[in-house]
Amino acid sequence: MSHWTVARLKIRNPDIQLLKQALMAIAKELGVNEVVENFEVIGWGARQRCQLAIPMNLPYGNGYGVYIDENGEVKVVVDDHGAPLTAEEFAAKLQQYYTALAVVAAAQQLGFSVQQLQQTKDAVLIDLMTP
Amino acid sequence: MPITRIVVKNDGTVQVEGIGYVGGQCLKVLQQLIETLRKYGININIEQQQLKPEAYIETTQVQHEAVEQ
Repeated sequence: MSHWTVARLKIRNPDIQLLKQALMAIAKELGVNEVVENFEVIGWGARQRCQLAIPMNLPYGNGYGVYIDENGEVKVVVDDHGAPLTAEEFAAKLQQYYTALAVVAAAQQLGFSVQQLQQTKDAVLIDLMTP
Repeated sequence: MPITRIVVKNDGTVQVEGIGYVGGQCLKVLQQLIETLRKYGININIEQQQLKPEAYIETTQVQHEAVEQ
């Protein structure tokens, strides 16, 4: 039984360091605390080389992988059968965390200061103060 | 001091609110953020925009002229 799934994020040509930070946040939630590079994610009858991955023992796989395709689009891949997060849930979380980190980075680049950064049940909230 | 509040929801949608701004400054800040976020691979398409009453207040500069007596 396999749920080998590839999910696309609405991120193109990402900042790899921010992507790694976003993945690390998810890794900690999954209790793994590790993000690796150049990792082959394996599922039932499928495999994909990924630039970044959260390695973990899954019923039918070895982790959650993230790769950037030839068009610069970010994709996640996992055999999510019995896994703590479905591919869609993982992709949504990665999208959210990456976007939040990018907002903070963009704000700091523009000279804004981050007054508040808070995660609630439904969202990540960021308050910026202009210079 | 004005605050720009950004809420990144669980479904990835982004809500932006200008708090304490007068005039069109909040829209300039939003535009700056949108342009800078493109460099990080995020393209934000504005689906809905609602201006608060304060956005319609025109800010004018008052020049004080020295009065010679």
